[in-house]
Parts: sequence; structure tokens; C-alpha cells
Amino acid sequence: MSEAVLVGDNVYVLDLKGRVCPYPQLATLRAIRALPPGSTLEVITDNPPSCENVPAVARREGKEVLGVFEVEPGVWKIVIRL
Amino acid sequence: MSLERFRERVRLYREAGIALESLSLGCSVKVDLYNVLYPALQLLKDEVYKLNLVIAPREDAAIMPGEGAYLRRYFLNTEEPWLEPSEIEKLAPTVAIVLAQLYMGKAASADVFAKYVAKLYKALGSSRHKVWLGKGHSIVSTKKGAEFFMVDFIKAEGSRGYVVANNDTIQVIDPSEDLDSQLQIAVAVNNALNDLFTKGAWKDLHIAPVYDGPSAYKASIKAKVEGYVSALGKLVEAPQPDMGYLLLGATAYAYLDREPPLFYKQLDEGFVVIVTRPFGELAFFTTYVAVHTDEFLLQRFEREVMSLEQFEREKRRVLEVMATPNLEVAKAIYEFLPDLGEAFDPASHIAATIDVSGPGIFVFKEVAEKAGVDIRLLDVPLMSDRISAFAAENYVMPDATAGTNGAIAIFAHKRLADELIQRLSKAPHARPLVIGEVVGKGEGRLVVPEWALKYISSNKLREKLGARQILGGLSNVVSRPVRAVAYVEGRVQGVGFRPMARARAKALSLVGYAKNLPDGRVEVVVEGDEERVRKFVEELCRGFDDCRVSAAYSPATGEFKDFEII
Repeated sequence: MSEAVLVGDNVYVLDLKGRVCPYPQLATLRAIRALPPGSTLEVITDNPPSCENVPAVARREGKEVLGVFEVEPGVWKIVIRL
Repeated sequence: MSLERFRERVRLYREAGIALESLSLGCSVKVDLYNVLYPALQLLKDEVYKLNLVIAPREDAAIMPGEGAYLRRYFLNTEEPWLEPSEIEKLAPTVAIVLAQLYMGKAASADVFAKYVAKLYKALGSSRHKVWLGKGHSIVSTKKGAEFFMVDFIKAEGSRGYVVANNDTIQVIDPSEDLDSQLQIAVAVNNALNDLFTKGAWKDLHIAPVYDGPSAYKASIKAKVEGYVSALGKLVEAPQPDMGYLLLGATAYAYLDREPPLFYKQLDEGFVVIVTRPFGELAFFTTYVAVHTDEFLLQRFEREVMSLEQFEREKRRVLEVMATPNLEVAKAIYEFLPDLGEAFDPASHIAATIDVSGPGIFVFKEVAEKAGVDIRLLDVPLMSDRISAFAAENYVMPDATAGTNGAIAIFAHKRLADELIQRLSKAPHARPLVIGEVVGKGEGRLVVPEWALKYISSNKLREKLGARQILGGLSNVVSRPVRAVAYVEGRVQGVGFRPMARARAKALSLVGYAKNLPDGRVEVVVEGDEERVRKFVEELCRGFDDCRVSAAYSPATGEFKDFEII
């Protein structure tokens, strides 16, 4: 299972490229529970349904979704404030 | 114990070049219908209009007039799909059934997906033979190279009855099974047949399998697939994708010598919803994978739901149910269909059927919209309500009511319910029960019990359930309804002209009538989607030597419920 990696000041990146349902939701949930509150989690995905499912998981866990950005064609970054 | 075995499986798949985390389990396999496919079809409407192509009404299977058929399969490149127009003209297929495997990025949005579909449509719709796109099935792939369009042309022959055809293909069902598992192969082939069985078509079954796998497994997969297929029907040899990626399924067709259950317009107050057994099979497999990749989830599952040992046993039981074809159910449905040309009678016939498999509970929404009625579900029976609830609660699946080779839903008048349930209960693994009712004519709303919402974790999906006409594209890809009044002259009376017109109208979901006039002509009035009405009128004379048509078009009146012979 993929793990989030610390890349900067309180910013973690969880690279889920190549992963499809149900892995992106589950890995995001794990990261949300494991990482320190107040930090930022950036989920990278190339699986279109995850752009909907991953923010839904974050919101239902009471976290704020700062945005979903297409960083290159077919790849998205979902930014979550923990 | 189980964890160790699972890790071994992950290694086995990886050695075969497949990352288990990248395989489409049921929750991710299809192109998103609501956000991608239907909007894409809308975008393509004008494009289709320019081509010699017509898109059949959305049904579980393609239904065409005929007594028998043969199949020819082509593989097209997804970037530059091309088919020699003369080849299509020579073959003059009755329908095309398409299987598309596209890299998931290309199925990300309606406009990107539409770009690829447009190329395919152009390849199919550029000949002088009007191609009828009967059924499309699309799979998203995480592997960039493993892409193709597979086109199965089916040419039906004869004019008595119907040929019903379908393709369904999956990547994997249960990753704890071997790559060439007999059970998994059975489930995949059954899943393709289930849409035919749903329409009561089971006679003269022909199956052209679709399979692929890593080279070390291919020979074994081929032998097992062909063995299984030959035991169920006639094996149709056809080329295979050969991409080295996992793929299992089939294009299948069967003969139906009764009227298909497409009497949506007859649905009204007094009709009930029957399912042949509980559904929601997929929750077992996605949850199984999920708990094996996340220890926190596993602990929670064992605490809240059941032990892993018990879970393994139950999952096996569900897989065995799925590996049983719904052939007996098909025979039961067949017994409750009108004879060819016979009018629908609510006291003795099934009005409509739908395969509950893929979209789970959303199929009832689909029927509600198609029939223009409101439906209330009183019960949502699942293979395991606890496992489905767990899957939804823990985000394992957006809709934990989905399944594969699942139950079949039947819409019939309540007077027929007891007799139907008694007959259905003779099928293996059947547990038929009434789960809801048609409230009356309406805007396509589906009302589900409050508690059933716990099986749907996606808020977006929840909202769709109760809304009116959310499937938009689905019923509205049928855009402009028109009426055609056609007069047919020549030798057209007493030669089977009207029954043929009726069968073609049914296959295109058109309503109206065909009537012999005293002066020797036949008057044909049809209503429905404009392009289908035009296709119908253009082909009215096909198969009749001395036959000429003149037709006038006007807006539809909505006065017909069925296509009748007068």
C-alpha cells in the first residue's frame, strides 16, 4: 500500500498513479488518520473517478479540500488540509 | 494465514506483470455513465447525424429481428480506427457490438472520451451500409498500451422472431483466485450471458469468447474458456486482443421466438418489482482486497463484521453462486412472454426485465426513467447487508449494491407475482421476492428506504437516486421524438410484411401500428427517436421484392404504448 512522503514544510505527497478503486480512497483515508493535524496532503492520481471519491472521503472525515488541479493531462493533484 | 496467502497472490500477479492495485475490480471497471459516457454521446449527436450510423436504444442487449446469426470480429486501433467501407458493405451486418478498452485518462471527461468515440463512429459509419450500433461496453485500463476497439458484427438471418446479442467483459473478479481459475472464467462468461437471459433468450446460444492474459497463462485460459463455453452453447471462433493483459468475457447471442419484455410503456400502478435473488456480490471482493491491504481495516472488519475465516467461506459461496449461469431464470422469463405477434396481457406476461448486475440499485432508476413511472423500493435484499454496509462506510465502494452475473429484476403485474415467484424459485440459488412497486406514471423517480442509503457512500450517487430524469443522456439520447406516416405499395399484403415491420419496430423501441388498407397498400405509423424512425422507414422494404415506401414526418403525439398489427 502506498504511503505519503514528507516533501516540504508540513506538506505530504501521496502518489497513487496507476491505482484504481478502491485503493485511492483507502490510501487517502490511511494518510488522513496517520498524518499530523494542520499539515497538507497532496494526493496525486491519474484515475478520474478518484477526483470525486478522494475529496468525498476527505470531507466526510471532516477535512477541508483546498482544490483538485490537473497538473498534466490526465494527472490530478488533490490538496487536502488535515 | 489468509494474509500470507494473499501476499503470495499479489506476488504471483506481479510476476505475471500485473499490479493487483491497478486491476479494475468491479468498482472501477466501467467508464462513468453519468459523468462521461452519456454526456459524450450528447456531444456526438451532430456527428452521428452526419454519419451512416444509428445508435440503438439502451438495453441490456441488442435485439434484432431474425432466426439465426453469424459473427465477424475486427480489432481497431484506438488512435486511428479504420475499417474498409467496402468490407462493411459486403458484410452488411445487422448490428455492431463494440468492446472498448481505453486508458483511463482518456475516459476522464466527456469531451476527451467523445474524441475517441467519434473516431470509432467515423470508422463504422462511413460506408454505404447503415451500421446499427447495438451495444457498447467499455473498460478502463491502467495500462497505457493495452487499448483497442473490438467490433463484433452480427448478421442476423431469417425474419421469424429475434436474435438477442450482448458483450460483457471484465478484468478480474476475485484476485484470490488463480489467473486461469475455472470459477472466475465461469463468472465472466455467465455475466455476458446474463443480459440475454434477462430478456428470456436462451435458445440456440452462441458464444464468441474474449480472453487475454500473460503469455504463461494464455494456453490454459484458452482451454478452460473454450471448455466452459462449449458446455453451455456453441463456441464461435474469433480473434483475441493479445495484449498480455487480463481480460475475460464474451459476445453471446441467442434466439428468442417470443416477444421480448420491452413493454415499458405498459408499466403503471399495480405493477410490482421482483428480484430473482439478493444482489450486491461485488462488495465481497472489493472488501476482501481492501482488508488485505490495510491492517487497520482488517481489525475493524473482524471486530464489526466477521472473522476472516468466515469471510473466506462466505466469499467462496458467493463466487459459486456467480459461477452458476442464470439459465433456469431465463427459461422462466421465457414462459411468461407473449408468443410472436401476440399482444401484451398484464395477467399473463412480464412487462420488463433488467439485469441488476453492474449498477446495482440504480437499475431501478433506469427503468423508472425509461418507462416514465415512479418506483418505490420497499426492500433492498443483499447477499450480505453487513459486508455491503462495511464497504460503503469505509469508502471501499461508492455503491455497495453492485454485482456481477447478478440477480435479474422483473416488472410484472401484481396478479402475476405469486405464479412468477413460484416458477422462479425452481432455479438454482434463486430466492425470488417482491421488493417494490410502481407507484404510477411519473418523472422517473426512485424512492428507496432511508436505511438503504447506508450502502451508497457517494453523496453524488445518493442525490441521483431521488432526482427526476438524472440519467439525462440515457432516456434523452433519444432526443427528438417524431412521427412517421408511411404508405407502402407493391406486393406487401399476405407476405409477412406487417410482422416484420413490427419486429423491426420493437428492436428499435418504436411504437405505432401497421395496417392493411383495402386498396392493397399497408399504412405504417411509427413514433420514437428521429434517427431510429428514419432508419426504420428506410429499411421497411428490405427483404421484400415488390415494395415502395413514401413517408411524411411530423412531431410525435405520444398516443401509442406498443407497436400493433391492425
